[in-house]
Amino acid sequence: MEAFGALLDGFATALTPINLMWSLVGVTLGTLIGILPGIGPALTIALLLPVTRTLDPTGAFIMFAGLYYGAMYGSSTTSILLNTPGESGSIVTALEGNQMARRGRGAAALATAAIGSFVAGTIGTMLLTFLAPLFVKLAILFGPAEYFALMVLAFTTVTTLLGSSVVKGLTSLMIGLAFGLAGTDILTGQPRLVFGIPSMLRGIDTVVVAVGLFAVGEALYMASRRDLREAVILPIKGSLFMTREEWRRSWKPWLRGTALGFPFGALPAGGTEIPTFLSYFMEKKLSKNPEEFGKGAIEGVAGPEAANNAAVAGVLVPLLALGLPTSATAAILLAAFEQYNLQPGPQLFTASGPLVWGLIASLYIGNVMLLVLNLPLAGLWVRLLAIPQPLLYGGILVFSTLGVYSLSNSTFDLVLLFVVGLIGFVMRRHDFPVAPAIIGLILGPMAEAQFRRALTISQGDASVFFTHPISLALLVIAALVLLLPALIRKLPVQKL
Amino acid sequence: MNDLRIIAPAGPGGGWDQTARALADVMAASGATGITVENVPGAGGTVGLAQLVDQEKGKPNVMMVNGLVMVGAILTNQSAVNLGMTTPVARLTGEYEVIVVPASSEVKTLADLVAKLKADTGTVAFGGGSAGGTDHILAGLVAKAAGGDVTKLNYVPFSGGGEALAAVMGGHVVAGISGYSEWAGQIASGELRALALSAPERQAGIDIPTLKEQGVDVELANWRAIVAPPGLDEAQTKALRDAVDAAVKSDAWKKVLAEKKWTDLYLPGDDFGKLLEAENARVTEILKSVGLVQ
Amino acid sequence: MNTQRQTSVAGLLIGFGLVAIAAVIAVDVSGMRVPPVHAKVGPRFFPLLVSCGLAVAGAVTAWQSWRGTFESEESHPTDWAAVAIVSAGLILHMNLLKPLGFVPAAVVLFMCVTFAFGSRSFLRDGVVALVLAMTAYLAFTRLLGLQLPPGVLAGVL
Repeated sequence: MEAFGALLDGFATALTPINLMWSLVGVTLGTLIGILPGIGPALTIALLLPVTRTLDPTGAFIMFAGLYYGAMYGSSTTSILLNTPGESGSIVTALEGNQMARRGRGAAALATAAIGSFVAGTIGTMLLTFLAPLFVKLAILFGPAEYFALMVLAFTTVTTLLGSSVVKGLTSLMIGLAFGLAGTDILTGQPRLVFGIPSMLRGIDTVVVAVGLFAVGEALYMASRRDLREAVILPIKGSLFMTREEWRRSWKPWLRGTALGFPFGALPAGGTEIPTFLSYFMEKKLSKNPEEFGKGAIEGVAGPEAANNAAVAGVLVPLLALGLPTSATAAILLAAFEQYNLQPGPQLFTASGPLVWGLIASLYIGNVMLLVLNLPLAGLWVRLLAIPQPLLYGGILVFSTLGVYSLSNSTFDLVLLFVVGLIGFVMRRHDFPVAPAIIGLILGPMAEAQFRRALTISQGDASVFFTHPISLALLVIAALVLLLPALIRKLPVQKL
Repeated sequence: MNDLRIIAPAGPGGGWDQTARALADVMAASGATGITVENVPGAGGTVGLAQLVDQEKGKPNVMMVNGLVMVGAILTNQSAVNLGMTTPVARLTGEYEVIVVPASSEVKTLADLVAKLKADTGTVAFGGGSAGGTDHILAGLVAKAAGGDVTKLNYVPFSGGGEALAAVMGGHVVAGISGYSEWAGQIASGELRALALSAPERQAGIDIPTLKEQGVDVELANWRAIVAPPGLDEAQTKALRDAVDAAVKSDAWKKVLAEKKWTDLYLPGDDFGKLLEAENARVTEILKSVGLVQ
Repeated sequence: MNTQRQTSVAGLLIGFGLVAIAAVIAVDVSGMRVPPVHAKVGPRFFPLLVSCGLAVAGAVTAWQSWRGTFESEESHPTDWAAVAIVSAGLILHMNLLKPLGFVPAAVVLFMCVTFAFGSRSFLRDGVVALVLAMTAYLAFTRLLGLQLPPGVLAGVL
């Protein structure tokens, strides 16, 4: 196999001591920024670009790859232990992961996240190596109509997150959708719900809402409940790492999460968040004990974590094969390619083969390095929970505000953060689930933009959603997901 | 010129940020000290512009990068401040726009596209960047020059370069518009067919005919420039213009232009001020006719 | 749980709050200028949909609260003073960040939070706050070139 031989050469390039060092620098820095909300891989690579100009391209890209994966790992760590997602791709992880941590299974949650990410990253990188052209063809089949149908399908996942009261769950969804409305309207460029505040023109950032609802809302809530404050959290209960039972329950979600995440990453408007929603939904539906979800079901960590890492690998498919950036980080990587006078696209594999295969090999190496670093550290990380609560929450708020301020060096974002935090506090106090709000915020603006784009192209003819085969198929699946459970319940139970 | 602060009215990594940082590097290389770049992102640069006009007024050691996109954003955002309130320093660089169709498109030439625009403007869905941005402005100018009905312009804004590119490659829109360098790779590999470049004349190394030579009388450069706060006296203005002039004429700047493939569109001082006025008038007119601005 | 159903005041407030937000969205969007669009669906459609959704959610919440079927955790004892102190910390932080700089603002926030959470080891908390803030400041400004306001420590750090 031609690709295989080239990959081996790639390993030879990547496995030099100096490049291994760059990989280590990348994953370490990545883990660090992943922990911080607001500061993601895109911003970091952008800030590092001028520094790396003098570096040779192979070393620089190996470092960036490590950084990209490292950020995902770091972010899941804070999601699980502190209920504070550092990147939007690991918001779902916090739902079950933090519950596990509270029950003394934090190390197991970290382990299943690390191994799941490793499995997904490795399979994803292999798919990238061998099947990139196929996924590229799939990616450009998706136009606005197809994306809208996909968003409709993704919205159905909200049904698994509604919690005990449907009204409260839907209220939370509406609040998230409302946050997503503000800012410059993408299709017409007109200001909407900005109330004359220039800083509102760029809209309310997902990070501000996620950090506000999770970290700030949680801190305010914990402060209000003296009984919870004084409760002791056991960092580890039972075995330090995953039990046999936890392994058994993890491996299928890893694979399913990978299968969901990779194609989404390859889609130009896919992203890392939606596959994590879908994976969570799928695991809850497939689980034999769905009642455990919300109380620390390991499947709810394993699946979404695999999904977000596989999506990261997927993002590289259109980037390397077509020069098509599908995420903010990919766009910055594209700029990095250009800095070295490399033009991604079909020619890249022929013109700069060693570099590309070196980069792909470095993805494998970065994954192994992260696994090796994180598994032993999981036992250490959970000790974070042993930090006295006052110091822990003081630290969480210092880093949350630091991250949010860095989004655009604006104190206005801190005002928003506080307001959203108060909303998060009220929601927690009155049992409103927080996750639907996040889904609404992320999916709402995308769904609206794609819906209106599709109708703009068709000049107002709404039949596009049903005449495009992919769009129709997705809508039918969404309808089945919503209606089937109700229909089955209505059918008279037949005894055989 | 020491202790200069250059505002990039966008986040790190984009064109304005790169321009600010490149200029800062070049000035620092010639011995100036204490030069910093400050990112003030948001709303097509109008957040940064508001800061420059309100808070930096009269400060002789501040400059801000800006560009054609800001001219449109000021109008669509109904911004309270505009570029006419600043002290123009110089236009620095620019890039020409390219109009493309997917390789499999039935539209073979610009003439085909013009014919379609003329027959029924609404059926030609253009894909490109943000509403009111350079791509949108060019779509409007071309539709108008082609004799189409500009009020029926069918422009589909996408967020991020990748999404627009994918929509064009997948044939979801009829034609796509973007800065040339962004899509150069796909044009070279044959996945996109370039119909025309928005330059005044043929560009070295780019084998694409201009709009003008194909009978569509439109030229448009997505220029980037630098301005200073309002309220500076003549000596202060001259000091800034001289500092930029020295930087732009250095070898280090020429190296930056070559590296980044930026077209040199240096236009200093009052001439740049006049250009700002002319561009503002042209953009206002076209955005009014497509209905984005009242 | 109360055996007798009682009207929930907080629930009523939440319900009315949601209706109020719905009204604000509807009013703001109605005053928005809509350029001619090909889609027939303009920038007002989705906001009005969301506004209706919020209004219905608010009405149902208010109705449930009135009838006493709105479930919440109000029965727990609430330490309102602690909530106020954490809030004060956040408000002080956003106001001090630019004039005084990142390090002092972060220390103030940290101290407010630890105090609210019941810690009275001021020396320990102060040292931790200072070390944390300085490390974060240096790491992010030096390593990554992030722009954090230096404030009073300009030139020192």
